[in-house]
Amino acid sequence: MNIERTENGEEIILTVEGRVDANTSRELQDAIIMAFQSANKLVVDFAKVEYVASAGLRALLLGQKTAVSKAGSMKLTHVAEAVMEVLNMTGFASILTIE
Amino acid sequence: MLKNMKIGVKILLVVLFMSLGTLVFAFVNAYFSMDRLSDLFQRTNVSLGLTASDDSKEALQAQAEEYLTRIAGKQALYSNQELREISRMVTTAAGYLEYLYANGERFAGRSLPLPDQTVDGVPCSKYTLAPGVSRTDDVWREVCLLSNCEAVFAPDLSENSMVDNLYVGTVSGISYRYSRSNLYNRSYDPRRQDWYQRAAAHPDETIWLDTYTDSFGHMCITSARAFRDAQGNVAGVVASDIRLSDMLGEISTAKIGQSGYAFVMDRDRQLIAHPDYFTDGFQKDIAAHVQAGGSGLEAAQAPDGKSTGIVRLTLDGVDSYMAFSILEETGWCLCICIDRDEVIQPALDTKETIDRITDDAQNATQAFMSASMRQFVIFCVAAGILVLALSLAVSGSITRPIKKLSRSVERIGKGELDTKVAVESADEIGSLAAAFNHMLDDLNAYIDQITWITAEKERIGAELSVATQIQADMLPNIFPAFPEREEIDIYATMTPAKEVGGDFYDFFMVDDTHLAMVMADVSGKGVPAALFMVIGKTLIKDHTEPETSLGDVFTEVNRLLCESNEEGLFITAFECVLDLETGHMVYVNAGHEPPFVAGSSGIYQLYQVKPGFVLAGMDGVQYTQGALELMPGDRIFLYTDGVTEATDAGKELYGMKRLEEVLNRHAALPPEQLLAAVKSDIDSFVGEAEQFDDITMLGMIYKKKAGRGVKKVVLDAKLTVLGEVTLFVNRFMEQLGCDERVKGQTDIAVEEIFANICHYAYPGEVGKVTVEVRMEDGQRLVLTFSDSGVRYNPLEKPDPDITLGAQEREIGGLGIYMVKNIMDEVSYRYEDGKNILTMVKCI
Repeated sequence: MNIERTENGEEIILTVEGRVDANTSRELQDAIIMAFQSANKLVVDFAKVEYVASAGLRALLLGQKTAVSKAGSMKLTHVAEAVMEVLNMTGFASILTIE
Repeated sequence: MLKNMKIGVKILLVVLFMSLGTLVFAFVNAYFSMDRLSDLFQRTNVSLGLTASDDSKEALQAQAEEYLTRIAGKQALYSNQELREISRMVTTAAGYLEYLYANGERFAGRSLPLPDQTVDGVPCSKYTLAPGVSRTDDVWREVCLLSNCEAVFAPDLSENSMVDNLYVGTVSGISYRYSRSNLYNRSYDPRRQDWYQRAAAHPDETIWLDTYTDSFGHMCITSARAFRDAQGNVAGVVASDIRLSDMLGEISTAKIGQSGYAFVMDRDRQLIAHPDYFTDGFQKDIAAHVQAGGSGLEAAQAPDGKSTGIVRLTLDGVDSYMAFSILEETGWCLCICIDRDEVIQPALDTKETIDRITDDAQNATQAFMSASMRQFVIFCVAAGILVLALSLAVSGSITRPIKKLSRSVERIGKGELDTKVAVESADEIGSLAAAFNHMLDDLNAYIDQITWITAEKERIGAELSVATQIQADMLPNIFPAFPEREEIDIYATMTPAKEVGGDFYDFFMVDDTHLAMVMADVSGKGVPAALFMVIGKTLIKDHTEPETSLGDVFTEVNRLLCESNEEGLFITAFECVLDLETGHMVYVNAGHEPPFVAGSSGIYQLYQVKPGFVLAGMDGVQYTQGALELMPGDRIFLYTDGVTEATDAGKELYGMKRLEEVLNRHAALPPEQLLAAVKSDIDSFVGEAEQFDDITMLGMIYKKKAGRGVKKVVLDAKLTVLGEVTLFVNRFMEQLGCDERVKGQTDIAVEEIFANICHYAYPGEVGKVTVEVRMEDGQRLVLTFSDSGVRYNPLEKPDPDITLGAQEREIGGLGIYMVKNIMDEVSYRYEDGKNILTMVKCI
C-alpha cells in the first residue's frame, strides 16, 4: 500500500494505492491522524484501493471521529465497487462522507 | 630422608661428616692405639714382674738348693770323717789290744785305780769289775795288762775333742776305761752291754751302735770292735763313745739363715739329732714331722743309692727345702731344712717392686690418656664450630644462586615469562642460569609462534565449525519435516567423518504433490568437498521442477558442474521424485548406490537401477530417468557408501548383506527409529575403529495417497505471513477460475479469520495455523482454519449495530460480522485440542 499526501489550500488529499489490510491499515490510520493535525479538511482518494478489510475500516472510522471532534471533514472519493460493497455491508456508507 | 633435604643441609652434612668424621676416626684410632699400648705396657710389666720374680725365685731356689745341698754334703763329709776317725781309732785300739794280749809277758803294766779313786775331769785310766768277778791274780794281771792301753788311749783322747772316752770290756768281766769322768756304776757288767755283745758277735769288724743318751743325758754313739787273744779267741771288746753334739758340731744347733736348721736320722729314720730333740713330747719318727703330700718324702725316707740331694716337703707345717746327705760310715742321713718362703722372699720382694712400678706407669698412662681425651673434645668442639661456620658459608654460596634460580623459575612458572634469572656467578649454576635465560628466550619465541599457530588453527577451526554448522543447516534437519503431510514420513541423518563432510542428502516438495529426495556423495573430504557439495545440492534443487524430466535435470547439472570443476571432484548422486497423489516415482542415478525398496511384501530389497556416470566426471553425459510405482505402505531407504563401507578394526567391510539384514530386522519401524537402528548396528560392528567416511542415510514411508483437490498449508500465526495465506487461497481459486469479486470477498474473510487467530489464539507466543482449502460438489469452496491455541469461538460475539452514527460506533467486531456476511456458511468446533473454523463460499 502506498499513500501520497498532497495539500490543496486548506485541504489535504491522501491518495491511497493498494490493499488496506491488517498489516497496512496502521499506516493509513497514522496518515489520517497526522493530516488532521495540520488541517481540518481531509480528502482520502480511494481510486486505486481495491481491497479494504475490517482493519482498514477501523482507520477510516477513527478518521471520521477525529473529523467530527475537530469540526472538520473527511471525504472519501473515487471508491471502487468492491470497497463500496464492504462499506455498505458494514453500514459505513452512511457514516462516512463519500463522493 | 636424604632426598628431602635441602642442598645446603646436604653439603653441611657432608663437610661435617668428612671433617669431624676424620677427626673422630683419627682420635679413636689414636685413643685405642694408646689404650692398647698402655694395656700392652701393663701386660708386659706384669709379665716382666712375674718373669723377674719367677726367675729370681728360681735362681734363689736353685741357689738355696745348691747351698743347702753343699752344706749338707760338707757337713756329712765332715761328720763322716769324724766318724771314720773314731772308727780308725777304735780299730787301732783293738789291734793294739790284740798285740798286748799276744805279748802279755813283755808288758808288766801297773795297777789301776778304781773310778772313785780318781779326780773327776782329769783324763785317766780306771777299772771296775763286773759283779761276781773277784780280783784274782789273773784278773789283776789282766787289769795291769790293760793299763798299757793308756799309752795309746791318752793321745787319742787328747787329740780328739770329740772322743770322751775309750773303754774296754773283757770276757773275764773287767771294765777298763780311759776317761775324764770318774762316775761309775757298781753293777755294771760290760759283757751284758749291747756294744759288747754286738761287737763280739761280729769279730774283726768295727761296728757302730745306735745312738743313745748317756748317763749325763748326752746323745751319744758308740763304735766298738772285738779283739782276740793269742789263741785267736775273742778276748774282749774295745769301744769309744762320741757325743753327737760334738760330732755334728754347730750344725745341729746353729740356725741357718732365719729359719734353717739341721737334723740327723739314723738308718731306721729315727731322728737322732734335732734342735728340738730334748723338748718334751718330741717325736723321734721323721714320719710324724712330715705332713702328707710332702714331695720327696720317699727320697728322704729311703735315700738308699742317693748319697746326697734336696727335696721339697712340708715339714712341721712349713713348706720347706730339705737337703740331705748320707753318712757312709753309719748310714745316717744328715738333713738341713729351710723355710721355702725365706728362700723366695727376695723374689717376692722384687716382684712387688716391679708391680708397684708397673702400677705407677699404668696410672701415669691413664692420666695422660684422659688428658688427651679432654684436649681432643675441646679441639673437636672448636673444629666443629669452625667447620660449621665454613660449611654454612660454602653451602650458602652454592645454594643462594640455586634459590635465586628457583625463585625465578617459580615466577616463570606463574607465567611471568619476561623474568630474567639474575645469577651471574661463573660456576655451573651461572651456566645453568645463562642456559635458562637462553631457554626462556627460545620459549618466548616458541610461545609466540605457537600462539600465532594456535590462533590460526583456532580461526580455521572456528571457520570449519561454522562451515560444519552451515552445511548441517543446509541439509533439511527439522523433523518432522512435513507435519501437515499425512501421506509421508521421512527422516534423514548425516554423520560426517571429518568436520565438514562430502555427503549430502536433500528432500523438498517440488510442488504441492511432489516430493523430491536426493542422496549424494562428493569425492574427497573436507572443505573442498563440502563446497562442491553445496554447489551440487543447490544445482540439483534449483533444476528439479515439476515439468522437467530428472534425466534432463542431471544432464544440465552435470554440464554446469563440469564448467567449474578445476579440482577434478565428482559427485555420485541419486534423485527420485514421488507423486504423492499417484505413488508414481521417477528417479535418476549418477553412479550412486542403488536404493533399498520395501514393497507390498514389507521386505527391503535392493532396487537395481541403471548406474549412470558420476556428476562432474565428464562433460556432455546424457542421463535418463527411470520410474517405479509405490503403493501406500511402501518404503524406500537411500544411503551412501559410508554405510556399506564402514570398516571394523579387522578391516572388514560392513557390506550390503549386513545392511539388508538390519533393515529387514527393523522393517516395521518408522524411518527415524530405523535409521537409529542401522546406525547403532554399524557402530557396534565398527567398534573402536575410526570412521573413515561420512555415514548418510534417508528413510521414507509412503503412507497414503494424497487426496485430490485438497490443499493444505501450515503457517506461523503472525500477521506478516498474511500475504502467504491469501496467496495460497487465491491460487486455489485461480485454478478453479473464480471471478475477482468472489476472490476479493474471500480474501477479506480469510484475512479476518487469520488476523483473529494471530491476535487471540497464542497470547505471548507464535503458534501454528493450518489452512486447508478444497472444493466440494464442484461449487462449494470449503476453507478450514485450525489452531492449537486458546479455545475461542469468535462466532459467539454479538454483531455490531451498523445503524449507529460514526461517533457511537465501536471499533472492533466488524471482522467477524463481515465474514458472516460474505461467506455462505461459517461454523466453529473444538476438536482434539484444536479450534477449527470452517467457512463455505458457493461459487
